Amino acid sequence: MLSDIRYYSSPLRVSDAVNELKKGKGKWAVFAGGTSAVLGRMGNVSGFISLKNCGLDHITQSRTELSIGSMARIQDILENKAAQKFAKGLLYKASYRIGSTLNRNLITLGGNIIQIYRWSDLPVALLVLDSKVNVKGPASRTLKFSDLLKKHPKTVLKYTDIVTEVRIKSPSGVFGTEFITFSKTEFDYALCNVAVFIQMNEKKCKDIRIAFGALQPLPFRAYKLEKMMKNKVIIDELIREVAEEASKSTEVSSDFRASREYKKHLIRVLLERAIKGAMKSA
Amino acid sequence: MIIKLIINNEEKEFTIKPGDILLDVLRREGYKGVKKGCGTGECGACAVLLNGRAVNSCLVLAAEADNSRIVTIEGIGTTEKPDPLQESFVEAGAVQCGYCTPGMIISAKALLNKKKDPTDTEIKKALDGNYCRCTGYVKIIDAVRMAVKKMKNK
Amino acid sequence: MPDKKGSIFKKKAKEEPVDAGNLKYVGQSVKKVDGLGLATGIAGFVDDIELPNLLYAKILPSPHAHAKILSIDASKAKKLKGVKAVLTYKDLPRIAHTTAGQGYPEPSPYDTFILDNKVRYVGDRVAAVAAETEQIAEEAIKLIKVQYKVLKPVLDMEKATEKGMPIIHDEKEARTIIPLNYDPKRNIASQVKALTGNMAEGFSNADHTFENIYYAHYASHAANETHIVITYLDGQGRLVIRTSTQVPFHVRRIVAERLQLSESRVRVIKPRIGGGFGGKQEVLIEDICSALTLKTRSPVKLHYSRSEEFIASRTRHPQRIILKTGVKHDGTITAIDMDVLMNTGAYGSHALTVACNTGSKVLPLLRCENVQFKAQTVYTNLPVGGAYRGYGATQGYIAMGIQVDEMAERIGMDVCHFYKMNHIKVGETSPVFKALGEGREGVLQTIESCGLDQCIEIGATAIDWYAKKERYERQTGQIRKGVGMVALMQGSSIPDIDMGAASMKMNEDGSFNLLVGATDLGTGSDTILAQMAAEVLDVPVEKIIVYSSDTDLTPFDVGAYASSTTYLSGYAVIKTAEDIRSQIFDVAAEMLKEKKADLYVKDSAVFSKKTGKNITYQRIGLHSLYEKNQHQIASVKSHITHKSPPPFSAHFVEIELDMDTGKVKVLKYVAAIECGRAINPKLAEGQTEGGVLNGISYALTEEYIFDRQGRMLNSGFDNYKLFYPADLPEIRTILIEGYPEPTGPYGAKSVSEICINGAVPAISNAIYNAVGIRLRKPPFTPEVVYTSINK
Ligand SMILES: Cc1cc2nc3c(=O)[nH]c(=O)nc-3n(C[C@@H](O)[C@H](O)[C@H](O)COP(=O)(O)OP(=O)(O)OC[C@H]3O[C@@H](n4cnc5c(N)ncnc54)[C@H](O)[C@@H]3O)c2cc1C
Ligand code: FES
Ligand code: FES
Repeated sequence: MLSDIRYYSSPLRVSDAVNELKKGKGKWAVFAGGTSAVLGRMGNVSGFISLKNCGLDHITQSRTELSIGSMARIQDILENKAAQKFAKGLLYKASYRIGSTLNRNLITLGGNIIQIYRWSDLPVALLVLDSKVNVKGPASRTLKFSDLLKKHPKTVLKYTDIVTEVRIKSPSGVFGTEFITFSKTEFDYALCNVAVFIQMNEKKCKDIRIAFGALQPLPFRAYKLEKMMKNKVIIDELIREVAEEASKSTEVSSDFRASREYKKHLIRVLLERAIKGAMKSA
Repeated sequence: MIIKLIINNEEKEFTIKPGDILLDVLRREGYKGVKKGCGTGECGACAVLLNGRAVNSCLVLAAEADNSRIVTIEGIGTTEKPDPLQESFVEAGAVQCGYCTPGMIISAKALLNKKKDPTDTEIKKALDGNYCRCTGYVKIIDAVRMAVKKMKNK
Repeated sequence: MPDKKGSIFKKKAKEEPVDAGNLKYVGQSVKKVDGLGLATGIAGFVDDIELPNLLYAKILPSPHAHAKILSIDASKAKKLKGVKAVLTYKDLPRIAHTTAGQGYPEPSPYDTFILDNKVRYVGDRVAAVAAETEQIAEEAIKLIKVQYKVLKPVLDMEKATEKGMPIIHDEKEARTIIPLNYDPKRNIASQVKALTGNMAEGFSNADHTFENIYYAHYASHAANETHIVITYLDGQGRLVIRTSTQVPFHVRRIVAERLQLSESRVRVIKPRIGGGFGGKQEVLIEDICSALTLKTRSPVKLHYSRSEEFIASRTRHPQRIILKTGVKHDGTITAIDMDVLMNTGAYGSHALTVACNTGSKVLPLLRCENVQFKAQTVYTNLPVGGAYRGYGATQGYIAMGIQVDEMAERIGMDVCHFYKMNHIKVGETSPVFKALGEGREGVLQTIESCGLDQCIEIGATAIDWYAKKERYERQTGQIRKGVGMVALMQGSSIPDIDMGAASMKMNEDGSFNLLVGATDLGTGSDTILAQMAAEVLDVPVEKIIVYSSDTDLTPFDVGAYASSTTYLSGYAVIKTAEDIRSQIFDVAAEMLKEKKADLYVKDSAVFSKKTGKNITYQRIGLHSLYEKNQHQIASVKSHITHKSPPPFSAHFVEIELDMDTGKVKVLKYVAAIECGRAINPKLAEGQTEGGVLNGISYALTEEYIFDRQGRMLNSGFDNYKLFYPADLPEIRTILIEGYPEPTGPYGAKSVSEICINGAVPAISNAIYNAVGIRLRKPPFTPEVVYTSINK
């Protein structure tokens, strides 16, 4: 039992939920999939405002974008035809390796991008796509996904804010993607993961986005590496150079799961594979 | 607070606290087939079907389950009228200590409800959160395959 | 029709083992008797009963690896509403004991107290609380104020005996109750030495010598059900302990002793158990929970969390093994010198016997006249070792299994051939059997059944050994493959020490209650024991109603350990069933007016060879209870063993290694096993598959990671990496039949421990085949492998 929890409600509309959160004065929190909430990983919270009756679990595709409600479960993303294919399977690959089926049936997209841990997977993939986040609250707004990750999302958002959906622009042109993760077993947190989005113009790289996860408290884009590749003809040597640079310049620390040196090595190997994989899919 | 659930096709009402966990409530109410192996979503012994999806009941807030349909292992079948999965688990030798078995069967049931003829990879993926120390999973996968056959022949 | 169900104890049976063709229930993959109950969620585990006024117990764990308790103030905790009892060392008798669930007199040192004024590892018990709810108990724990004097800890087993190291067991009570080489002042929990032949001569006859250091690491049993016990008082004020244990009778004896009760005041019930693997051959939490019940007079439950299970239950003893061998060009082994240093953690549970097994279950496998074995077990301020499936042999085979591969390679002989040439054969004995026992001299025995050659041949074919071995030796590229193998043996029971018993009675419908002290912990022993009884009586297995175990009802059995249940308790069941059969004949003879000697059983009935007259069990049952000369057909028989015949096995593995990341993936694993006659092939396979996968994850990912203060950093399923279905490689179990053990019940030997011993050496050898690097210190995690190949 979570003995600190003394209040629970499940309003029917997002606006009601926002009002509830106001009443809670920061002591009540949004309850989505609940997997972090139930494990007591949310700190000083005494009430839950559940979004389960607010809808928000849609996955819809228009010509220009894929829109996923924040309450969509990771398993829904895995099983939804549009989401499966989107961005050449990038979201699918990232979702596939999150926890277990039993977990994925609970974990929501919203929870996964807000309750970020070092090893969170989906945010890494979302970082290399053109994604935006709709936020409802006293001041409703749309954030660039990367802005949500400027600091920890929980400090970027106010306690009265509710993420309602994530909108991802359909990539166009000749593009490829890849998501590669490394862990000791299948049901394990990533030691390192990499997402790559690449747009090609003949042999040249028109645009590339690279994001890493599991290395620092938050997933991050590797702008410097991207610059090394943009507008260049991509040959193996360049990829190796970029991977080398990534390994050299990325800050990581040792922990009991792996040493700093090994993680740095993984960066090199996985990035190389991810770039090649992305090119192959292009 | 009071929650209403349909458990194994029976309507139930329970008085709970807002912080109660579904696993604890189910066990407290007599559904002892729901097991606890970790309490942190990492063993699957506590799996139940929640509105048709297999979930870790140790990660579900009881309050959140209000108005849902729940199936526990007790609702899958009985010794008199076992589900093909339950029979197959016994026949295939997939039950050793049996502590993981209810959760395994729940996960397998969710899979077979969706897919009539899953591949081995799909079976393994569907059970990927169900831990078993005794069997090495070989006979568990066999059992699911066997159940698929049984259900086809029905 | 002749009586084909003659006693298998007859001398004749020894020469002509029971022909499998004549067996009806034994050797069949009968469905597990408790299977459907478990699959439908109704079979009762410890926690599946409701008791009124149940209290919840919690333990206050030590935050320090080594500290003296200066003061404990529990007054605040006691005042908390809902708290019913708080126990500290001041409230309990100070009786040194061992938590090892072994027979009396235990060879493990008496170095543990229910609660003590000193803590010896992070997680050690400091105090216990019983309260109305779990939450209150947890809160109460936090309110206990403890002042510690922190002492320097011993965290490295290789330094434990160095001068100036703090003494972990400086208490005056620490001792062994049988004369053993116990030296706590030097942090030594046990030491043994054994020597046969002449080492100097052995090594001087060798053309090649080998010497290397091998390691075995900590591991958790990780049974799905963590330790749990519920204690309460029955109508007569007797203490009832409902517990998840492998050793109910040892629990009764040991708890009674620790709490100064008479054993007649204690009843231990073992319901369904959610896996043990040795972890529950330990009287670990029953004592403190009982103490709380005695104090509160209420039912109390103590259920370990997963984290407590990792830290504060028992583990596989880590070892460092220095192995030296001498070999001739032709493959003859001239000398084996094994030097074991074992870490038992803070307490010496199984400290001597596990170390002994490292020698006694490993060394006899290979013919060699000059063998030396030395083992020293040391205390450290780390989690406590205990019995763990494989029991020392797992550790020993890491060294032996890898070094044999090195030997064969050096002399240019295929390792399969090397094993075939050198392994012990039928009719042979090993001096090690006698030299090394369980805390005393061992028992000389001759091998009477051995199918190892076939295990090796069939296993090699199944993995395509010869072709692959050669092909994989010359690879380049990023993904490489490799094959590796190892040959193994174990034992079956502890000879002249273990005793098992069974009792049986007949009911009026022709069914039988079979009560056994042997504890089914998921292993299927209830089923195979029922099969044996069914075979003797020729009744369907469903007619045998098995119950295990309850110290008030079932006869004594040492419990489920040392691979003894089938071999030992199985015989007790056969004896009992034979006696029942004889009593049935008595009644039938009277009813049919036939001579007893002319009777035989068939299909739940008794027949006369002479006249063909027959009568069903149902009639006999009814008659014996109601009609004439009324009496209960019933019997109790016990059995002790004089041998511990080893099962044999050959394991083969094929792996794939990613040179860039160091990740090793098992592609295929073949375990060919000869366990005498498999009483229930499917269950025997299941035992093997479970043990194999446990071995594989032990080899690759399972490990205890500590910080510098001796705190375990990964005490959860999140970071202690076990294998789940998605990690499952292809596992093939091949039961080699045709080698019934003459001394075994229906030719059976043990099966469930041997299978865990192969994965580490086989995988290490496969890595060598793939990349030419010898890894001798598991687990072979990606980082370890990557670093090793890039050294
Ligand atoms: C056993 C296990 C294994 C896991 N493995 C992985 C893994 O491998 N990779 C991975 O990426 N993740 C993994 N996760 C998921 C983990 O990262 C988080 O638990 C999960 O992302 C939280 O999602 P949730 O929907 O359950 O959120 P909740 O627990 O409901 O909420 C989490 C936090 O986010 C806030 N929040 C949620 N939704 C919204 C919203 N719409 N608006 C505003 N705030 C919101 C909540 O207030 C809360 O603070 C695992 C989880 C478990 C339990
Ligand atoms: S108890 Fe719920 S997953 Fe382990
Ligand atoms: S059968 Fe024991 S854990 Fe699966």
